[in-house]
Amino acid sequence: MNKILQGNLFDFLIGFVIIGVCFLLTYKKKKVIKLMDIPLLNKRILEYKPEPLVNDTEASLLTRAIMESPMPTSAGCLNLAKINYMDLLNNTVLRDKAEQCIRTYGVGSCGPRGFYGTIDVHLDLENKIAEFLGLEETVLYSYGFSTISSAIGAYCKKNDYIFCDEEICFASLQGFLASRSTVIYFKHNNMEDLEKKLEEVKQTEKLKNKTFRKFLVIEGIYMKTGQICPLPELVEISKKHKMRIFLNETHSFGILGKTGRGVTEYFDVDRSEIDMIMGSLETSLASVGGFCVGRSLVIEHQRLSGLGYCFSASLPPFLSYVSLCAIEMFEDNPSMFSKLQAVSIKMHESLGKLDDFLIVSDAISPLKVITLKKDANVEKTDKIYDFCANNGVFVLKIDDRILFHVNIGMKDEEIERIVDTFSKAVEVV
Amino acid sequence: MSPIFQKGYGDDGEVGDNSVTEVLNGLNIENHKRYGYDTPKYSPTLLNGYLKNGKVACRFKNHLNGHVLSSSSDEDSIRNGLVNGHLPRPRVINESFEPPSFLTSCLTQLGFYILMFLGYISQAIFPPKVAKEENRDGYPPLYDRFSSFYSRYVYRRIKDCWNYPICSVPGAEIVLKNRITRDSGWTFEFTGEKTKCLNLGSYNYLGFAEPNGPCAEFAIESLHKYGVSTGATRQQYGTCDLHVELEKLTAEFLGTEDAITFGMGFATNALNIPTFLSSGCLVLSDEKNHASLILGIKLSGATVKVFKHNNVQHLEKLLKENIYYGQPNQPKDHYKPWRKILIVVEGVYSMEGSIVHLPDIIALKKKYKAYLYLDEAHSIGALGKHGRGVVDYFHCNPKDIDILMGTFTKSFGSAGGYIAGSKKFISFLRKHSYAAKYATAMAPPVAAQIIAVLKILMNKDGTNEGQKRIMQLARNTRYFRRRLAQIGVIAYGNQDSPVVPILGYLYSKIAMVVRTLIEHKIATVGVGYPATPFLEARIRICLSAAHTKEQLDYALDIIEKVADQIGLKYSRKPRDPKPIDYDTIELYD
Repeated sequence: MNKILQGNLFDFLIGFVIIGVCFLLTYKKKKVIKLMDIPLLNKRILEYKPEPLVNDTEASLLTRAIMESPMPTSAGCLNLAKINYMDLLNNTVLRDKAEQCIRTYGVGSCGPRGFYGTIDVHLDLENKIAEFLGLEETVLYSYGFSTISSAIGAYCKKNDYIFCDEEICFASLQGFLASRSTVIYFKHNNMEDLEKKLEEVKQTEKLKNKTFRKFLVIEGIYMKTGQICPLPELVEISKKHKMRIFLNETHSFGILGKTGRGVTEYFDVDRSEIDMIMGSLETSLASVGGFCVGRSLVIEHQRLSGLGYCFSASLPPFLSYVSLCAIEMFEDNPSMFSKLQAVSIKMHESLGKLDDFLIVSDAISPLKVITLKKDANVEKTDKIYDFCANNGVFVLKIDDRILFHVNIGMKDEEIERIVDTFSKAVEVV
Repeated sequence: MSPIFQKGYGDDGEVGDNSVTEVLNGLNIENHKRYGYDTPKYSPTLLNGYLKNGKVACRFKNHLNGHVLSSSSDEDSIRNGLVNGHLPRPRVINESFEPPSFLTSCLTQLGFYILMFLGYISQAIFPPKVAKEENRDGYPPLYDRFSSFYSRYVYRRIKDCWNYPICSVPGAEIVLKNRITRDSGWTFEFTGEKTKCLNLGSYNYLGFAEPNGPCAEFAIESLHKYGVSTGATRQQYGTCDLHVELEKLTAEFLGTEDAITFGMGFATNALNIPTFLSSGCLVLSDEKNHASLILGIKLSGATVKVFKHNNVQHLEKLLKENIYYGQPNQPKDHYKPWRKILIVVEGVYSMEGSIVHLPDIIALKKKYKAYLYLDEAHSIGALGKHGRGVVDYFHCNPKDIDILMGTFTKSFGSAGGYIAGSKKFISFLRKHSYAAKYATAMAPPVAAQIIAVLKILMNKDGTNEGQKRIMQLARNTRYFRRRLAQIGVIAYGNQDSPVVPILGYLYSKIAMVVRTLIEHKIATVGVGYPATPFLEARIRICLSAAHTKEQLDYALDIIEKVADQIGLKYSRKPRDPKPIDYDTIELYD
């Protein structure tokens, strides 16, 4: 008996340990179920009074609410609210091309890109944009707004730092929210401020002994101010601090530069210095949609991780075909860009004659932003906005600023009329 | 036991004294009595998808008999659901989620580990054929190591099953542009040849993806009238007559007070949910909800709790708990209720093929004073006698649902999305929606296509075309699903759902099936992690009204052959040997 025990003691022990380990692995702490007090539960269910789904009383008090202003159709009006820089919205050749495309592919694509929603015109446009900018790869999105928010969300993650200009557009803000990164704002186009903030982050990096991924999100022409970003300085700073640059060229692609290659051409910056260029088909290309372009290594990632790319139906084929034809047009007559820039500068000079307005935007930018020199506020802007609309000049407003878009076909009389309307509007205010 | 403390719910299945389960049962009996159904002795088991002991008879529990009754709705909806003076019968939910055998799940796990292991070996031997980043020395890497490994050495090997380029309209048939890869998936080249395939992959439920016909003509007409785009936002001078007409028609079609439309379906969810939710609000979201809903909820800053897929009982448990405990992290003994509770569900789940248990959820929503958000992306047009989606399918009252959302990409063969609801709510969105404020308005031809389709579906064009297509789709769906059951593959979901996922479990099998089917000129879609649970990779088939019986028969024959070859006949259900007559399949009552 003793012998048997001695011989098997080791086996017993091993068996015991194995059973113990199994038990520990499968053991789950039993949840302590807190019992609910049924009468109290019923009382609370009965008394629960949720807030109304939407509470609109406070919001309507704030400003005169814009609901919807329909497209002006009356003859003789100047619609500066719509983005029509190259006058392609009225181009009949493009409309015929779109018709041709609908007759081949139908209107919708009936599926996301992964599931038979990739139509050859999408690939053609992607190649065209990459070729136009001399970069490796492009992804197409079906909505300009979602392009920016999805692209930022695909790269920036929780522990990253995003540096961005305080006048950044709203779409980027949505991207920041989705990324959950730490966002640090620097003063509008102020390089010293950016350097200062970067130094602060460097201090935390040293403290934690860890390098964070840092991203710089900027816009070619800022949608809110119409100012061009100082790209060469920004690239310099980014190199110094090993920061990646995401450049939003919504209002500069197909506009700035000698041949319309955007703000990089304008400043003669090597495009490979920029990690990702985001653009829109909704501005100079007169279509709907957006794109991101850059090196394959960077852009390819969005095909699986860009939420708005992966989980959304692809762009209707005719919209991508129109954009493709528009880029071909750009390549055929690059004189368009200098013409648009000349009109923009002329408009800037004419606006300079107005004593009461401060021109926020840069001269070469086709997106013009003006505001009142003396105590600009929302009510006054509203009044100017209304006055202009009543006089057949349709502009946009953001807070206390008036925005409008220059058109390549703008005649001198029209510029005069716009300036004239503004000067009259001031008298009313 | 103290009378105060009583288990409200729990593992023993005791249902609290006034659970919706019983309320519904009561209503159901009442309705049945009132409307003359002969049901005095009501079976205690199969009511509303619940068993009497309070356990929900859903997933995995009802797969053998499959028939679980659902109450049509409460009285109000019954009244509104009157069709030509006679009452619709409560909808029978016939849904099946057959679980895999233990062996299958083990093999699937093993298969995945082998795939990963081979990936690591191949990474060690063959360095990635991707150029290194230039001038980025010393930068922290852009991606974490696992995700780049996964996409380069696991996903890349089956990459050819996705993103297949096409060069035709995505109708009943599509033309694929042949491509080959000479370096196992790193790059692709076009061969210049084209293959015409039967299209079982696109979301063309009603077959309105057409290059000609009244819809395309109307779109082209609007193109010449309004241009390719209006070039401005909806709020500021981007709204044209077409948008106004489209919204009026949408509201009329859905039976709501008002509707608003947006240029992209994904953005409709992602940009509108944050406008009416904020912190202090609670969202109860189905676990299978689409990425756009999840993103929208995440952006809003509200608290999210996820309930099990289509599990009404779990939802009720969460509702009770959350009303009872209120917001967390309050000072002691301080009760602060949630500001709003929103239930977010989809009509037809695109990866599961299941249909939401809408009547039960409406009853819950009413009892617990929650709001309901219904995403009808895949169900609008594709379900219901009039094509009005899941609300029509269950004969519910559209006014019971606070927010009806849907897309125009699928059944309408166009693009964009809508939100419909009360006048007050839609006016709020018109004012505050990010998509109305900052995003370009829907392109006029896109809007025109939808208007033309809506008119056909509402029978405003004078032909019976819309009704014909809806019935064709319903017939195709039932026929196809029944034949699949006969073949013996596991197809998830509801018998009326045009989304048919066929389970393949192993990733290699999925890739194999997709490739073999394309060789046989059938285009289908394979889906795996992350779109589905880890061990449930599947082939997804989307049926369309454009498919003819002959096309479906062809597809089914090939699928049977492939299932034999590759081994997809996982189902252990008894098979009905009777041949199915296509023309006599019973449809909506």
